[in-house]
Amino acid sequence: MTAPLLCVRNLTIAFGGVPVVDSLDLDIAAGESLGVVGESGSGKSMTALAVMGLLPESAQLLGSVAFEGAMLDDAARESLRGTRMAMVFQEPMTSLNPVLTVGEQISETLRFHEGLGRRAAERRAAELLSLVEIPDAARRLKNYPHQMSGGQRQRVMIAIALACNPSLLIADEPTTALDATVQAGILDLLRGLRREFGMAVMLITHDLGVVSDFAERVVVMYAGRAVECAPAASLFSRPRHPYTSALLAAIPRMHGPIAPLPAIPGTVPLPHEMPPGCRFAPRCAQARAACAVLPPRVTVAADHEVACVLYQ
Amino acid sequence: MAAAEAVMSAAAAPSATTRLWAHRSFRLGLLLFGLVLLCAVFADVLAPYDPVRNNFRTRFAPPGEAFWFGADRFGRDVLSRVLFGARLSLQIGFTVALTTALAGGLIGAVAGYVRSVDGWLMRLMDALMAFPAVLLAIALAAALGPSVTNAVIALTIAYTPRTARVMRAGVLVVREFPFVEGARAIGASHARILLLHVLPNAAAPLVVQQTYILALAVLAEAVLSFLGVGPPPPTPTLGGIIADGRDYLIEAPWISLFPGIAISITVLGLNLMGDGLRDALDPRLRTAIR
Amino acid sequence: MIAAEELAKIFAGGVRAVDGVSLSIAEGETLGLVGESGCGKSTLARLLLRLIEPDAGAIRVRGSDFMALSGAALREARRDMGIVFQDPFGSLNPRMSVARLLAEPLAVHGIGGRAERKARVAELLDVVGLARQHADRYPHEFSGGQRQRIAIARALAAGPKFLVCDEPTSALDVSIQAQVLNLLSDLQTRFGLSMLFVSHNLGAVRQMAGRVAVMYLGRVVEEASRDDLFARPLHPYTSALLSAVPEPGVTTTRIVLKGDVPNPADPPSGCRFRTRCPRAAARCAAETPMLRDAGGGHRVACHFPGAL
Repeated sequence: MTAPLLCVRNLTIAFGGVPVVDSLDLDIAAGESLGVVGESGSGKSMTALAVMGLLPESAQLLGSVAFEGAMLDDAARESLRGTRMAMVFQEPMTSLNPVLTVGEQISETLRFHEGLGRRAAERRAAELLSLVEIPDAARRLKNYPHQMSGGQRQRVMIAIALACNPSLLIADEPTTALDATVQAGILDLLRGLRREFGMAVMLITHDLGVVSDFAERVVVMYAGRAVECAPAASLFSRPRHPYTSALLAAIPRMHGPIAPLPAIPGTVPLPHEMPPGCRFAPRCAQARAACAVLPPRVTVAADHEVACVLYQ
Repeated sequence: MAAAEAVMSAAAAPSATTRLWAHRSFRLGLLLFGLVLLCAVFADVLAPYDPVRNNFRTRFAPPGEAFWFGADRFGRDVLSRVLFGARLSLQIGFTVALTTALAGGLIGAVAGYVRSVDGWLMRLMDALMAFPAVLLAIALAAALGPSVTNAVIALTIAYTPRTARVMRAGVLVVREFPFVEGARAIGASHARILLLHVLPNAAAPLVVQQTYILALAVLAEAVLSFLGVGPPPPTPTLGGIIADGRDYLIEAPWISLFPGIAISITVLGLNLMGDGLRDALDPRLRTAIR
Repeated sequence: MIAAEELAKIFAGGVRAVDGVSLSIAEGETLGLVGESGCGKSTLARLLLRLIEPDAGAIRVRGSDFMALSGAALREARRDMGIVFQDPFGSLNPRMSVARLLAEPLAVHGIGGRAERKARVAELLDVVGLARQHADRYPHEFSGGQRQRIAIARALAAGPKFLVCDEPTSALDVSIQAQVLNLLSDLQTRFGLSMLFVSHNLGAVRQMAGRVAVMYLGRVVEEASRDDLFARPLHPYTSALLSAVPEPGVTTTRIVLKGDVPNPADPPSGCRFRTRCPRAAARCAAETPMLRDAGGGHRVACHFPGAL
């Protein structure tokens, strides 16, 4: 069996001794699309930053991250960042430099990482812009970010990320700030790029609909821990973890009967107030005495893991 | 992401007062200014001699056991004069800080909130600011005549524009927050919105500004007194004492030296405190403690 | 309850944020307003309350002319209306305690003395599901969902009959959204409120609204009962919008719209949607389609209505 492209083992991220991500295991195979789903406080963004090596200095990191078979340390991350591993963020307006043209920002990556000269970088930048389906690419190179729409700016971000042909693209809430129709376009683009370049994508989002639409496999996170990990189809047709089912039930739907939404009572515990054992237990309708202990990771079906005592 | 930030800020940065206390500059500033303040407040208890009594026998006495800061050309104890001078300077300074806060606060708040008057109110402020504040104060004080009241009036007019600007900036920002719209939605009058919703949230930078204004006022008053357009003699003023010693800098440098040091310590202390306040109140600098 | 006719608002630079919108909401009814950014739905919500002054059009509240009011009379009329904003963190004055925030609408309208106001504050906290002790706390001590509850309580304090909700759950987590939506539903039934529910979340709108209006670039392009709109959309934009929203476990064929949303300061002539519409024809550029009844209270503004 080929080694996974990205292999995260026992990842723990803490601030001032308080963990925000706890013992996380994550695998992404080459060319696969993985959805990481969670609400605020789940630690999903922190995980992405940890993989990329972009955590703030005050973060304490435990566990290992291996990429393309090799363990990553700070130096390795430095060289991989922007080249083999790239990241796209949520707010394209603040992620792009407002005083540089779009062309300059794409060229910057090319010239820094691949040492291209100015003209060569410009040509490649235009190529990248048409790759992300921005019409009239050569002229658009001279646009400033504020002259483009939200969807276009996000496409520019993707172009910058693609510049050095990464094998892994991490997208942190890339469409959350965008309208539904624009979001659909961006997801289509990412799908196309995956097919064309065999690129793996880690899509982080709170939107279960987006995950259902885009991801092949899904990891559901709650309060810093992975609670369920499964292929998308089986996750949505038969969710096992009580949190996953509750979350799916709480979403107002566009089809089907209308009834009061079964809301999950309570709120996500704060990082320094985590309950011992299963972190979802205080809000879980099926909690029992055994939940006071750290739940085991149980394999319930092919490639489908759940961290819940119900399945022991 | 938000939860992590909450952890970072909750763990690393407690309340504003604690941050203030931890700020080195602030502590030093408080020490310096506090020293001057105490001396000024307890001037009558601390002063060994009557600051205005002449005594020709002790003219130009150098600093020693009898006169810690020496004596001036009328034989008056420089230490006692500096203590009372500091008291007067601080009295004027605090008064000016208060009056500029009221006047500038009012002008700035109205300018920031009522768009139609913003234009000409701020042009007026700009016109005043076009003159270097000290020069403006000198001109006004000279025109009004030397007295404590006139010095306060002149300084207030000179420094109000600064406060007005700070208040206006704050009001412009707070005005756009949803809760202001919410207050309108429940039917609150503009006066109510300005007083209860906008001002309490926009006033924080004013505290920092007024510490700087206090320092500027003390300094400017010294200039006024030095030039003879401040409170008239024999009232001891720091600037006046420096002026007295101007002709004797070689023979009796202590006359001008000590009031100069007093002014420097006061202004330095206030500025350091202002910096500390500014950093403590700035939400973005929460995790950094200098 | 509230009826608006030909409301219009043009911002600086010629941006026609709302361009001739007419709608009405009956007592106890919820109208959902959907559309993407720049369509003018938030502006329209504010025009109805006159938080932004309309440049043109009429508004009648319970039959009386709302536009004619000014000054104290306008402020008094505000007692009958409430609004809940999107941002739970910016919509409450951080320097006011919950008790003061909830009592303020009463204080503004001179309702009750101190004791009655205190009682009402406690009552409001109960109604929105918060503990009575919370009254002395400040907004920053609460979570996003709790702050929205406080905002809802404040909007209801003076006993309004009409509530505008402008994206009330968009900034909240999924699990909290459900709580707040349920609360709003309950309150509407309990107090017989008319509601304008503005949201870009189509699922939430379907959950809350009895009728839905779809906006595009300042105009209403379709308006129908909730079931009709979701089952049989007639405007091409509505079809595209419905197909673009991904739902977990559901696969739909997506209708992809070409191009970008046009500049609102310089909208296309005739039908504003024609630059992206797969059905656009010459007539669409020449003639602006008007909202016409297509049967059963289902109105659509299109020359070639029908499912895509």
